Amino acid sequence: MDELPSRIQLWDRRIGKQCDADLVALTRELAATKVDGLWWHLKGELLGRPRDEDDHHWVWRKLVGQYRNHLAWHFVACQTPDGEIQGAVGYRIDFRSSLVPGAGSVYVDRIAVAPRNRSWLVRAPLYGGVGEGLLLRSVCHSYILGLSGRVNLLSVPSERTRQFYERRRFTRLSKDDDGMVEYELGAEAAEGWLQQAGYL
Amino acid sequence: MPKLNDDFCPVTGGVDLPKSRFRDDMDQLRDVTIGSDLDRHIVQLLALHPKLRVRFRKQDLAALDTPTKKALLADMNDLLGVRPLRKPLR
Repeated sequence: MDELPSRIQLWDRRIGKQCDADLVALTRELAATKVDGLWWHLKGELLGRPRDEDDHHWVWRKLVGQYRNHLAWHFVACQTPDGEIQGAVGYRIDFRSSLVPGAGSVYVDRIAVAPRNRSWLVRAPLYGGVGEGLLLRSVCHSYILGLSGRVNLLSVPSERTRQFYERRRFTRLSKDDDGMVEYELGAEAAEGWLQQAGYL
Repeated sequence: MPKLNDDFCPVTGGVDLPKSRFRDDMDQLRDVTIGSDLDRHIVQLLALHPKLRVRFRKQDLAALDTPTKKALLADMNDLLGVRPLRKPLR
C-alpha cells in the first residue's frame, strides 16, 4: 500500500555497504519455500547450535495460513534482490495499550531475522538492519492506523535485545517468571523514531 | 535512517497472551476477504476507531472507485490527525 514503506536499507556485511531490500507480504508459499524450508540449512562455520535458538520450532507457513483471512493480522518479510527472505515479522493491530488506557496499539506477536544474519550463530552473518527495519515497519503501520505509532511486544531475556528496545525509548512494563519483558513504545517515542528515520 | 550496522538481530515473541489484552470489539475483521490493500486499510480504520464508524458508516466500499476511496481515506486521516509518511532521504 502506498502509505506504508515498501523498501528499507540493509547493511551488507560482505561488502560493507548499504543495499536495498523490499518489504513484502509474507505469503504461505514464501514462508514454506524461503523461510521454513531454507532458514535452518546454514552454511559455513557456526558459533552455536541452531536448535538452541528460540524460534527454531516456529512454522511460519502455518501461522500465515492460520490468520490469512483475519484482517487484524499482518505478516511482513524483508526480501533482498536475490529473492531470499532475510527476516519476518507477524503483528496484529487490535492490542490494548498499557500506557494509555482505552487506546489501541499494535502487538508484535513475533519477529525474527534469518539465522544466516545472526552474529551469535554464524561466523559470517550476511545482513544487518533487518530486525530494526521490520520493527520500524510495525511502528509505521501503527501510526497510519491512527494508533500514534504505539507498539507492544515481549522481549526475550537477552540483555542485548532489551538494550535495543530501551535505546529506542520503549517503556518497560513488566517482567514474567521466565524473564520475558513486556515493552510498549509510546506515542511520543514512536513519533521521535519516525522523525529520526525520516518518515515524518 | 536507522543505524544500519546496528547488531540488532532479535528473536522475539511467540507467546500467547490472555484475550483480555486484545480489543473485543473487532470481530468484523475476522474471516474477511478484501479486494485491495486500500480497502483493507479503510476497513481496519473503521474497525479501530468508533468515531469514524459514526461519521462514515454508510460507506459501501464496493460501490466506490479508487479516487473516491482515496479521498475518503484522506478525510479519515484528517479526522485522526494522521500525516502521510514520507520516503526517507538517502
